[in-house]
Amino acid sequence: MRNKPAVFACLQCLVNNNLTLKHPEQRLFVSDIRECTIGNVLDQWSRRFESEGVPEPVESIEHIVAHVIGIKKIIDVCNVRNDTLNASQIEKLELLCECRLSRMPVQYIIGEWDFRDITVKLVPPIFIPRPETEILVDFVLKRLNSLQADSCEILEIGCGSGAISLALAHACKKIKCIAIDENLHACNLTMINRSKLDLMEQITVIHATLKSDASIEALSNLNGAGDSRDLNSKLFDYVISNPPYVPTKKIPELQPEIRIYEDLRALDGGDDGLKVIKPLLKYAAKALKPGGRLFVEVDPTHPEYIQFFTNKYPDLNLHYVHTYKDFCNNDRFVEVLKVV
Amino acid sequence: MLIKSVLTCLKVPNSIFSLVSHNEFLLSIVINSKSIQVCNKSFKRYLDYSNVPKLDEADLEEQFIRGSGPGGQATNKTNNAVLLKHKPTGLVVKCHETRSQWDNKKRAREILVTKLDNLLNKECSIEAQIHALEKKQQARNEYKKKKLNEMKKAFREREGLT
Repeated sequence: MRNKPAVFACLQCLVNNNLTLKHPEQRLFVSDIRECTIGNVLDQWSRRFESEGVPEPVESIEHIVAHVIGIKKIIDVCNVRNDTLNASQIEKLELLCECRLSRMPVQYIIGEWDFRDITVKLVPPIFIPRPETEILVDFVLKRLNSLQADSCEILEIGCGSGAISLALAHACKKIKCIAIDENLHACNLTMINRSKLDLMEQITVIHATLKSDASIEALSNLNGAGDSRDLNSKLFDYVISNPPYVPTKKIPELQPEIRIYEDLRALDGGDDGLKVIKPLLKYAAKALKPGGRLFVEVDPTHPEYIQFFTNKYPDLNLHYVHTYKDFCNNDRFVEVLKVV
Repeated sequence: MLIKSVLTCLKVPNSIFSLVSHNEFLLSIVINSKSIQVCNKSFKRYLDYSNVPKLDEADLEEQFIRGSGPGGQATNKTNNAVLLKHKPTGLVVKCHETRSQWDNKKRAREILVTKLDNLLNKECSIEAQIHALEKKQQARNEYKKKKLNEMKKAFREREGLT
């Protein structure tokens, strides 16, 4: 993978707090210039970020300062502008700001982000959950409540940090989730987030991949027995996925934050962006109980294809139900029903 | 929730409805009480929620700061602030409290309900009711304290301790 070295460099700098990135000669010890109040830090670093073309300069430094002083809300940062930072806080702040100058996403720098009402730990290069996806959880929960089942078995394909599964399980105790990812690091991150949220009972994490022939292959055994169940014969009430769907030709146009730091395997959906969506539809046809539903996040060009696909293969007994829009009014989520 | 039963269904002009017993409304109450958490716990059962307005989604205009761009996986921004406008009254609420847009949306609605409640119900709004109850409680406490001090003083005088 092209972006691997950069990712590892930054991983290392986060882990060791020891920066190896090349910025030393430009390094501006803003905090030494004057007495180091939070107000000064905010003003000077936001100017510096802006002059170096870092997107969201003000928000970036606010989040970093909030992280360094140990608070979550960035509005609170503005209320403590007159407070000063101590030497170790300044040191930490400057390391993190250098990461931002190298365009590392803020979410990786502070190591966590909010998704709905939960906070998930984030580690590069595992995909950062996007705010669009928060609404996907709403659609699933809404459907689930309207059907009023006593229990609900869900499979999430490509869980990444685990945000979707964890948010679902957190919102509804009836839900039992199996979350799979082909990246072992993603599985481990999901498990860390699972124990932080105390959702061990509701979520099973399996290191497995959805292959192009629409079968699921277990890649390694994470925690002994129980994992070995055969995902190719088990049936689910819902299959949910935020699969890679960005067409390959659009990858070079992405922001450096995404291109350099995020695992592109979580985004790159092949030439038409449908590389994973096609096997996903075929797998869902096998793995859903009659009346079960597939919810999938897609590129706005995909809903039309999915409709075409369900019509083209009537044997799969899949029925296209609806396309939902995201908050920017783009077609973003597709619901497909498995009919009897 | 106990409030549920008390709710009456009034229709107020400019399309603000007082509520029937929708979850959404209950939600807003929960949040209202959250913003005044400390004092509210003991007052909750004395509050009259029947006039608290209910938001009609059709009256709301929502703006997201992140706005344009391809969106979804192809965008990574941190600004998840939500700007919510109540068209009939022109009230505007900006919520940037959390790093989750979903959460900000939810909280913006709660804040808007409180603002609307204050605007429409004035001294009968939940915040005003709580304020009044707090004042009453404070007066009572002061009275008790005064009484106690007087008794102590009288005792000392009686016993010749002064």
